[in-house]
Amino acid sequence: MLRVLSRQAFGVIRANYSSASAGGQVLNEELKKRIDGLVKASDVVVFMKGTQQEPMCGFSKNVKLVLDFHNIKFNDHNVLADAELREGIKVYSDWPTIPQVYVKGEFVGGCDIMISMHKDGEISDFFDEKNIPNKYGKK
Amino acid sequence: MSTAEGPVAKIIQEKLTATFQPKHLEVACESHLHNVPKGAEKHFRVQVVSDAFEGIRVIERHRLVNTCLSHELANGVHALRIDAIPTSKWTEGKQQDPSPTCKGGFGK
Repeated sequence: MLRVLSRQAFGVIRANYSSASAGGQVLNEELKKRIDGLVKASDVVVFMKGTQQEPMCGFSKNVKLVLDFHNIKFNDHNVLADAELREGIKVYSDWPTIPQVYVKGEFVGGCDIMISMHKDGEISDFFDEKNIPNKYGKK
Repeated sequence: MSTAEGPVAKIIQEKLTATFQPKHLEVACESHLHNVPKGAEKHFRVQVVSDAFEGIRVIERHRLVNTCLSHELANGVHALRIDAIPTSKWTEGKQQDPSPTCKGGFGK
């Protein structure tokens, strides 16, 4: 039963893309507009597995922890609850993995990049430059 | 860290070697730390030290690695931790940080 359902779901997802592999895929206009809307709806947007209240992935949780540490508010989107978004955001960003962080509509990176920026002390400068209030930046 | 090298791990190692001529390379499968069947090769950690990463931002370094491994990422590998270090910044013996604990993911 589950196998039939997932094959149907996969058919819907496939319909949104022009080719089978992630590289060189094209989003359909409706999905692209939807994602455009999501990334612009807030200064900081994270596409993650699970929610910021209950992350379902260690990498997604780490991104949430970094942003929380710096008191940065963000919109979260749970790709585990939205298969179309899960595949669509990878094509939209041309980035193969989740989580994905957008700041002021621009893709910044995933878990490795957020952690490395945090460890190198770059988060405050980065968010200051973007005029986003953050705990350790200039007020 | 997985000690046995599966076929996907070998391909990743070959591709990264061919593309970046690394001074140092580590490829580790971490699927045994995640909520997936035994023997799955879906989660990897790579540390690549190369001249190819000199003078470019970290996101561009990651994009180069993603492009190199785009086929694997489109066909089964769904988590890839990347440590892409320019040769000039490499300290011998520097370890990549351990990966965060799996929180269950899609499988329940």
